[in-house]
Amino acid sequence: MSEQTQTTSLRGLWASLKRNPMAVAGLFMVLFTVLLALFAPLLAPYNPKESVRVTVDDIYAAPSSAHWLGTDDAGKDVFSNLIYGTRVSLTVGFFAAFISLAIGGTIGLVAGFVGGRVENLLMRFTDVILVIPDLPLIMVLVALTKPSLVNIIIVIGILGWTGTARLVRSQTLSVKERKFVLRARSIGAGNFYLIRRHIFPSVFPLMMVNTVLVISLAILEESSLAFIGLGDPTTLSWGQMLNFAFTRGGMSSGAWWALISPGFAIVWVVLGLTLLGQGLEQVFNPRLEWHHLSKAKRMVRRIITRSVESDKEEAS
Amino acid sequence: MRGYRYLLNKIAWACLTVLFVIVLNFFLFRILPGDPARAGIRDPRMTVQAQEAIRVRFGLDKPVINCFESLNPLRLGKCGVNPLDTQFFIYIRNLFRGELGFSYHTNRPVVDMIGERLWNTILLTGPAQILSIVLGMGLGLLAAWKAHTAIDYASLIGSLVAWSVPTFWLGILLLFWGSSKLGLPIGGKMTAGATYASTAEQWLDVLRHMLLPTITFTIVYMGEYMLYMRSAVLEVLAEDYTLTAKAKGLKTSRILRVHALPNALLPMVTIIALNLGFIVSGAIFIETVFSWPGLGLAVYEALNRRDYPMLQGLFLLLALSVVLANLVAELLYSVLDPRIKTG
Amino acid sequence: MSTQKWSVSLLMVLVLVVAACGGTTPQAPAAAATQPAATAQPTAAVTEPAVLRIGWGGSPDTLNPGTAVLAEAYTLFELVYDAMYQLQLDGSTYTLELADSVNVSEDGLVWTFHIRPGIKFHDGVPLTAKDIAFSYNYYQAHQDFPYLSVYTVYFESVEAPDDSTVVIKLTQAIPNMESQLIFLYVLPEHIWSQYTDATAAVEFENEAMIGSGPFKMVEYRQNEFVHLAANKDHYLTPPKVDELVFQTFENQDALVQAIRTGQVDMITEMPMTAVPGLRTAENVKLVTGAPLSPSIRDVIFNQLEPENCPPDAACTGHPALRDRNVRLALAHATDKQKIIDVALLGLGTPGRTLVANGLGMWYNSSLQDYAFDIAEANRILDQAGYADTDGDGVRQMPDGSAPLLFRLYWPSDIEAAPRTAEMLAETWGQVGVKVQPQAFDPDALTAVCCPNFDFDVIIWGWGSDPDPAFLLGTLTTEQIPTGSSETGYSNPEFDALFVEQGTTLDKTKRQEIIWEMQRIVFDDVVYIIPYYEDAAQAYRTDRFTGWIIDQPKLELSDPSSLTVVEPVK
Repeated sequence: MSEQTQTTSLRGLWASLKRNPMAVAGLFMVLFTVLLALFAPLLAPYNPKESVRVTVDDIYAAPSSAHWLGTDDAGKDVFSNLIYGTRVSLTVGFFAAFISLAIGGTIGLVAGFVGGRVENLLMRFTDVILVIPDLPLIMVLVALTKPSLVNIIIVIGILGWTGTARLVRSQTLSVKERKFVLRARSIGAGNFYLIRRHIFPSVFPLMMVNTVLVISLAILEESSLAFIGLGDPTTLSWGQMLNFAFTRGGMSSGAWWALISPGFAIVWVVLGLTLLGQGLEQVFNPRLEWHHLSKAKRMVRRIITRSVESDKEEAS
Repeated sequence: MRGYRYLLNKIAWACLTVLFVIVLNFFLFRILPGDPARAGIRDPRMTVQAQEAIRVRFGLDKPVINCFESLNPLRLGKCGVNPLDTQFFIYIRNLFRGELGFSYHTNRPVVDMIGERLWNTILLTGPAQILSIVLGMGLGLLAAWKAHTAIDYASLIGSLVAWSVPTFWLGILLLFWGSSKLGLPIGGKMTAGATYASTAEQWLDVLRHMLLPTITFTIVYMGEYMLYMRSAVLEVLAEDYTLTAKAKGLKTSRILRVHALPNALLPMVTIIALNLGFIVSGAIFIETVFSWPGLGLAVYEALNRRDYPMLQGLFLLLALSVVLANLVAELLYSVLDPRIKTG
Repeated sequence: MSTQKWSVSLLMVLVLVVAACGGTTPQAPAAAATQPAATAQPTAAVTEPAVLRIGWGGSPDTLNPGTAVLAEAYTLFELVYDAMYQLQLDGSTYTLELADSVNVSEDGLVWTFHIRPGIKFHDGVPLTAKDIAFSYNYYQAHQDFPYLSVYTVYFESVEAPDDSTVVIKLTQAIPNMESQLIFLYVLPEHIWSQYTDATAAVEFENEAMIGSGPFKMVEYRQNEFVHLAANKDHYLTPPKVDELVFQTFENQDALVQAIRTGQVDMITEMPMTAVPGLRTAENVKLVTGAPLSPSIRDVIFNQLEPENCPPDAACTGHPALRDRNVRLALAHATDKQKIIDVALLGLGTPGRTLVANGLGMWYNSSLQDYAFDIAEANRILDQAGYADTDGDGVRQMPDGSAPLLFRLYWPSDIEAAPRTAEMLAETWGQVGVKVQPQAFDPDALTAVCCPNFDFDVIIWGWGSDPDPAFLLGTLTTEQIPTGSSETGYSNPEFDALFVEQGTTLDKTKRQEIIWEMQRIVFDDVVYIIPYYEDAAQAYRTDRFTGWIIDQPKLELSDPSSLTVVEPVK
């Protein structure tokens, strides 16, 4: 217990994190990207919104001193596109993650806290959402609404909360049963008090870890959707850059710069977030050897925790 | 007995999910503003009568369900309509007959078109999964054994990078490198229109085309399996009985083989079974990049062509495979986990 | 465990080595894909069949002429079937094919064709007038054939009084009878008479594809290849090659690679970005030109007058677009050449009206395009009273009510559209017009466009027919409630001319009328047609020669080329 209160203070957190070189690397990578996004107009040599007078030679031009990473299928500077792309990707990542966390956190908290039939219903609902294949559903939703960045964010957000819900629920459950909570209840503490004072502080650290993961997943998801043609063609995200390069003859033109750099940027951000997430996880739950890295993983945890709980039920 | 109740419970739940998916599938694709008459091409020669006749042929002139004439645009209709004559019941009835409707694009039965592509996806994903499982588990075992050494960190970083790389981008990288530097094919399953002297030659051609997508697939999944395996083995190795075994003088390889592996297998098997459910979804990107004529590419094409019956059929297939895989995973777990045995 | 892992890794390395070193493609005449294409070819022995390989990026959707909609299917139909007339590569000349003479009655209502003797279907059964009559009646009877039933609209009756005479009676005299007949492919009655039921007609897959054309079907595998063999007994144009193989490449990059390595002998399409590279590639000749069946890209202005608003339609078009001055200014503010450079890499010509330059004599070549002149555009808007009263860079309506803010939509399946929209937004912005761009799902866009008219500007397009009547018909008032009219344009003078051209039998007179109609809509700036896209095709110079590339239109997969090319000696 004292371990936890120590690490939830920011300074304590940084001290623990420093010991993990991977986490530090991850943090650096993420901060670097954020800085790029903030100072994009200063760092990018060209403004992607500006039009360029192009001739055939300017399309898919190889890297040169004028264009460090060459040009794309419309003659625009790839390097500038890449830098401005950080804004789109981070925006999508943060906001979509926010939606996922809000929904998942609420559902998990309610399910874990209230228990009983409500919990059962909510968890079944979570299962069903998990089962539905993402891509066709997203395609339908995007077709119904219009292909815009806002819609993409919403769609990714409302399909990505299941892991958070599970996590929050199991954590809520474990805290709920702790002695100090039972004691607080017995002296008449109200539900909101309990949530605010006891449950939330325990849940929060793990949610922080989950946040980082959800952001990275959202960024990956957006790039995949944009690549497959479901993105917003007016906002140049990295996935959209890859879509243009792949579908507009980038391969046969040998334009490796247009095909490689956006992907590299995606890997940079996602890897940074993942490393950071790993580090945070080590800090908050050092005995935790499992990694929250996929849906399957979350399902396994559910199976294990459920079987463990049902054993507990049996025993009690 | 508890075991059977558990089993039945799982199966019943799976069936319920399947029913939900079937109904959702129907309504989802009726909410879309799809129109077979305008499928893709705008041509002034298509008369209003032709459009109407095409709609009738696809059964779109019937009410969607009692009280609703259509869902997009939303139009209310008569509630007293014969329920058996609504699109919904025709859909359910066709499902029982094993029919999934006709493709807007080719006018052929969707089941036929799916059947043609299914084997190609299995051909691609099967060996790739096996490879990634074997390699992933092997690497994970190695990493756990050599925990906190250079090998461990290297494979850990490698797996994390593999995890962070978007599937389609890895495919593009390999395709680009392979086709321009190694002379490998730039896509497809076989050299278009080729004639072969023997079956062996044909298989060699297919293998050449399969090489890069298989490697992509393997790398993507290998990272995940490696990480799980590592954790699982570490957990076993941290147990007391491992210490005991080592103290007794057992060789490391024997400890790994006899203790670590079987105990780590349990969660691994579960994860593998679960992943199998998501294989087709995962294959969408790889098949698109490599133009491999499987179910994944079918999804991409149907999406682009707005071929809704095809999408509907594929969606159903995807969802069902996930439900089935989940069920198998849970059953496997209950069989293998000593804690949930009967009695 | 470790030994397993090692053996697997070893296997993978081995496979890699094998693939890298020994990748020979198992085809007889084609060079190995890993070796440079300039290896010596064995001279074709007399017994070696001349196989022409064509690469394309699509595949027919079906082999049933009634239900097919894709261009690839029609390419095959042109080769495997015959029709009464054939369209020449100038875009507007028709020559008789199945018939050797035609007699038209004075009133233009009765057309009597004399069919050539001795024509046989690919299965040996003779083709007679009875098959032709059967086919035409068949097309007319099936209303749900998407493209073909419309060609029979004026047929009152089609009869074959004997084996070599076909008599077509029309409900009214029409000027474009030939263009109605070029797509009515003649089907063998002895096969198709089993599929007269409505469902059967549509579901018949026609894999055997028995026709009478210069090529016959050997094997068809959808999304893989189509294999045709030459019909050396063809009465008119027996091919010089022996076989044709159309190979489907799932992506366009593969197509380009295939022509470079010699895996195919001709490609009918390519990504625009490959053009510069292929122009300089060894043994490859790239040709560009106006396509035979052009598609039109258009910028649609919603200029529907409120009194013409169909019932239940939203009709939310911006009032400014009903003013010709605004449309004219926007036309002057559109840099067509730049759009062509960026979207088409220069492979196009600035457009005028819906009638494309590929339509031969019907295209009004005298129309002078509106010059890209921002100053002129600003002047027009200033004079018309659209001032920027609040200094935010966007002009207002003369009465100060609404700013010139237009919704600009496009369907997500037009690749060049986002870039085009970007450029329009930019140049229109320089004349004080602000644009709200939005991509749409194509079906969702249809719901918004017509006859709902819930938009301001749309970038879209049409496929077209060799005869201009179909597309010009979408500009008539009567098409507003049907959904064919996208602009809501209503001009009684135009409507009258449209009726007149439909009954003017004299070709020269009809041409005058059609030219006048184009002038009217061009003057009224009903659309902005940014470009007519060029076709780019390529063939290998070391395989087959005799490709028809000197005609106004370019279509290397047309029978005109494929029946005359022969192997390079």
